[in-house]
Amino acid sequence: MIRLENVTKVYDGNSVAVRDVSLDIQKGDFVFLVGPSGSGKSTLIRMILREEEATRGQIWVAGKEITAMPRRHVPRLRRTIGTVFQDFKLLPNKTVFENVAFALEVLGQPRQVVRQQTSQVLELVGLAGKEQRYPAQLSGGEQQRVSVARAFVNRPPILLADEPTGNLDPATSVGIMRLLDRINRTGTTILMATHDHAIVDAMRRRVVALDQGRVAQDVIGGRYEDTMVHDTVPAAGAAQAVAEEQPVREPQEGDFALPDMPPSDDGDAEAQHPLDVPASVDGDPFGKDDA
Amino acid sequence: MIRLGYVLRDAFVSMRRNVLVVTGAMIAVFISLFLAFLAVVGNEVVRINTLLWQEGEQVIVFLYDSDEGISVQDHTVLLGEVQGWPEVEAARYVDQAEAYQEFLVLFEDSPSILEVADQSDVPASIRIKLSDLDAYRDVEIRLDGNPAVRRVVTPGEVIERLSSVTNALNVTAIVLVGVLGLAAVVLISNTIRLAIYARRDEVAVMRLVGASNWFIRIPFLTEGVLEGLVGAGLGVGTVVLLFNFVAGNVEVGIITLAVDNVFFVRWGSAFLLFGAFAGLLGSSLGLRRFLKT
Repeated sequence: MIRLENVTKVYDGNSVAVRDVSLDIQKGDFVFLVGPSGSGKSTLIRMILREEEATRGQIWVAGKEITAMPRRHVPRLRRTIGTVFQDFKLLPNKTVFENVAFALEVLGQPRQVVRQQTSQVLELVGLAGKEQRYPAQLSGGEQQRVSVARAFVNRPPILLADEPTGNLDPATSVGIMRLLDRINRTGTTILMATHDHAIVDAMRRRVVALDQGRVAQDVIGGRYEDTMVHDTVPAAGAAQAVAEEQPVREPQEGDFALPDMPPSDDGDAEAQHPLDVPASVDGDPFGKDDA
Repeated sequence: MIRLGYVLRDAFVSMRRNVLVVTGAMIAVFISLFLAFLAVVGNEVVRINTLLWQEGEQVIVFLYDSDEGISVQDHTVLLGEVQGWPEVEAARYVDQAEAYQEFLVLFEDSPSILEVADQSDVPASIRIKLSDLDAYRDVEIRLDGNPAVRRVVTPGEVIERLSSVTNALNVTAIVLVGVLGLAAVVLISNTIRLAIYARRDEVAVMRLVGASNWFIRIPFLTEGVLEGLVGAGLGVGTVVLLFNFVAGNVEVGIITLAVDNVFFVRWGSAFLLFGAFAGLLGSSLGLRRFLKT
């Protein structure tokens, strides 16, 4: 679904952000991208979105090579990728509903479709009943749910998340991770850059560690610490302690090993909304996955 | 598929947000197109009058009548004299009776004037068609001091004055339209930049979710076009109002202000188009630097 071949990104001629990275992410994968600040995680994500152009190498997204893609095709590329960021990027003067609907409106979808899909995805993320609130009236976790809803409302085959839990407390983060896991189980490929040890350790998914722009480790079912060859400082606090309690075991189909966290403000709402996402992702304009 | 309502609503919200700069841009469009349209209308008035003048009788010599001790005999003598001058192609005599008929037609809408005047109040005249248009001055000089001549009226002088005013207006209009037009385009491009800045978060999200470049651009272009259109509309409207006011209220004497409505419609639309184009140009300039994907 996403394939990088010998990708290098050099800023301003001398600052190397990504060095000769090759990576192959299959359809339906859930991949963590970890590494210290400045290791190139965000640059990698921005290159997949074509917000940055790779200096060398090639990138395939949903079967298309994107480094040589003409600019006018970039919007179409981005419709196949949902994006979630640490700072949510919600529009403060729009309601929850409008924020999510906006993503469909600007694609020129008819009003009927916009209304229906927006309601559907808001239910999925557990925000039914809060459609008319403004972002400022929501908790951080709820805002991130809106952001996930917006990223997913268009049912893209790929979801990129750049530190989606970076601004959230551990309990709320668990809620967001459950949501991403649920979305992943609909067949959506997820690539998530994160610093959150507890989450990486609990999820037991594929972990790609970047260090100074290189792939330092690529472990299936890995833990954060396994991958951190340079990061010797142990993570402090409860998250670490909780993570250590989890026994190490092989990941299983449908496995979801997030630790039991104290109930969060939005953790309960989720339970009321069963998974109602179709297993097949419709409307993939790029057709078959080449990975 | 872009919904028109969505685009227009966006443009209006955005214009209200930067109301001062938007007003400035519209005023610049308004003033430049007002002057340009005024010049165009002025030129048309001169053209119509010159044409009429060339085709008709260019000099009217009003004569004293029997009340002032001048006989029809004297009129006939003068007519013969005038017909002999080399500058005169043709001359005819209009007696008081014929002049009164003209007067009746001319003032048929003003019964109060018709009531107080009778045939003896309307002077006889000699109407002259010149062989050479510029010779009206020579004819005036020849007639000067003739005891039978009450007054010599020729539109030549008025047309010349009007023509010089129009020429000055043309030059001013060209310079001002150039300078102000440029200012208008720059101002519009500035309002668009402000609009983009005000909505940078929205634009960022639009790009993120894959809105097409045109979808992002069109609301801004629409805003620029609207600004240009409103400015042009004000300019054209003001000229039309002003013209109708002058034609209705000011004594313009021998000059005709009978400008065709078709003329106003045709040129008015051309100016509206021009305003819209200036707006499009301005907003394209404003967009150019900021919306590179």
